[in-house]
Amino acid sequence: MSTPPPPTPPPSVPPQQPPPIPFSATPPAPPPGGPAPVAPGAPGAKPPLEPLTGFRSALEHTGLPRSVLTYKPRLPSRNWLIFWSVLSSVSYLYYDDRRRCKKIKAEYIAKVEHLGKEVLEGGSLGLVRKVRVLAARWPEDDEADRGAKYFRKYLKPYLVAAGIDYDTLPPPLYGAITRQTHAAILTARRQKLGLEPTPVPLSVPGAIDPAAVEANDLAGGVILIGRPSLKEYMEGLKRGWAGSVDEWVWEKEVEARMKGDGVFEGPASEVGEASSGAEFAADVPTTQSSGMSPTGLSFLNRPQPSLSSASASQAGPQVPTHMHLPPNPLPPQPPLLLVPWTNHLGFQQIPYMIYDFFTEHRKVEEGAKLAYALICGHTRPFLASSSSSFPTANTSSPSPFSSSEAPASTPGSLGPGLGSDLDFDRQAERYFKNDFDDLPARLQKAKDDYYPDLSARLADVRALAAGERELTDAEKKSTKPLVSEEDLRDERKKKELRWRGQVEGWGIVRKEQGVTYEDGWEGWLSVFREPREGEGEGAKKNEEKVW
Amino acid sequence: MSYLFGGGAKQDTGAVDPVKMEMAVAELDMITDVFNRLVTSCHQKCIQPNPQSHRYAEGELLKGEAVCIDRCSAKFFEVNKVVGERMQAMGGTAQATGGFGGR
Repeated sequence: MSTPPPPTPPPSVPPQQPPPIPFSATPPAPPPGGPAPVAPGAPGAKPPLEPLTGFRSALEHTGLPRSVLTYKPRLPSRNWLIFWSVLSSVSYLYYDDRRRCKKIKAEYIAKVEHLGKEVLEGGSLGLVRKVRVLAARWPEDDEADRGAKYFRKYLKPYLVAAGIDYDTLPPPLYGAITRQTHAAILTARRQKLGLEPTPVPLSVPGAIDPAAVEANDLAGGVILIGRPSLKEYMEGLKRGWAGSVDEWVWEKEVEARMKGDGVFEGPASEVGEASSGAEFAADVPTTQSSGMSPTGLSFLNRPQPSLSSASASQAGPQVPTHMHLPPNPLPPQPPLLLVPWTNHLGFQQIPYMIYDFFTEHRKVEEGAKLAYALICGHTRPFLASSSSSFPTANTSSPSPFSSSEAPASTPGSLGPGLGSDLDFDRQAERYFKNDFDDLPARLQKAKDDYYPDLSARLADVRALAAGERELTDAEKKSTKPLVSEEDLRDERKKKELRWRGQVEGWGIVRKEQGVTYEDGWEGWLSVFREPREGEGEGAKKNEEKVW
Repeated sequence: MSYLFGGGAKQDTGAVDPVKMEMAVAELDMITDVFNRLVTSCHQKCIQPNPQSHRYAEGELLKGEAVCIDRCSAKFFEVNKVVGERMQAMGGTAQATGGFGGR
């Protein structure tokens, strides 16, 4: 700086006496609202203006208002300070969390997107790796879809980037996954044993080899969202492989049970109600049920699969007993990806919901790691017993949750850990609503309310059909078709299927019931794990021993 | 298409039923239209989102694209089916009530 700073006012001017301000004695016009300048000391006089110092004195004559030159920044009031600090901190928490989520997501997508850009072998008819997503209904949740939504939000982006296809099976009721898995395994077993005709492949140029499809399915993997899904899936595996090979469709089994009820038999048809009520309690599976076990193939949506009329398996040729035994060794299963998931429901869990709202990056990170593990494809054996002496759970001796202590280190679904995979995500069961324990009682009450009403309506419909009564005015006016006995039967069947399915699923999913595991299953199942140092994405390696 | 060949089975020489021909042609047109829409829609979603750019990333079909096309065509047909069912229902009620009396 070549020019020296502007000089301070000469010290000769006494500080008490302000220097005379030029032009102030004769202002061109009196300032509005202000008195005419009078000698200092007179009553009503404006206090003499303070001298401007520093650079301000140089700017004094530029025409800038004095208030601008003497501006002093001040903090807002205490209340405003509180308001702004609270608002800004909460907003920043949200903003920072979402920023981290985006970063994590972009990072993992960048890691895997080269896989999606590989050329598809086989051209347009090539098979792509496909995973099955099983997301069971969370207890006391009205929406059956929430698990699938969790998958779509936290796992699907990485699968899409890597070019992996996925299949979500909808679970309408508790226990639906068990029934679906059981039916699928039973079909496969029966087809292998020749009890059922295998579907004939079409002789169309685009037809895909079923063996290739099966191999693809095996290599793909199964994603289980939440501990209820794991429980249902394992129960389904047990029923499928350890059960008999007799033909079995859940809906038919329930219908057979309903047949003897006599609800639709004659006019006085409430004799059968007692039997159906007692059966309700017996539906809860605590031991292996006799051969028949339920399944469900979205019965509410799809029509019944029409089995061949010649397959009257009860009356037909008996299946030789050796066929009922499970094959030894058990055939390989696709590896599992265990995704921990806690669904917070209800007023009392709102604090957890708020916490989750501000810490979504944890879920994103977890989902990204799990998806990455699935994409890389490295597996480890399913651990059923921990190195600690925590008892494993079998269906024959369910370990009550409250009486045992949780293991010191619940295993991450990826790391080998010290715990058992049967305790996967056990802490999520703490968040089950307490109402869930009363489910059978509630459904029984619904049944008790429904059946008297049903018999009244049935009598009404039958009277109309027999011509004993005329159409009421309401019925004449309405454009809807009249309710017939068939409709009542269908309605009853649907309700019964729903109730029985729910109760059965409750028995599998409730927290007192552990994860099903049979002794002969050692080394059979495998679980996806995180790739260790030096391992990249590669073809799936063989199962490795953890120790 | 069977109309064309079936109608050629010679009962009366030469005269193919013009009504059936019309129906067959209309059906073929419809199928072709649906197919073209499907291809355009899924191509735009999966292969080249930017309609101005006329470049393919690679000459071969990529895995991500294959998965995308599978799901896109499945969804397209699903939508088609649902809309068709709705139209049928509307047509049914229109017949029953004698006209399109509102929704």
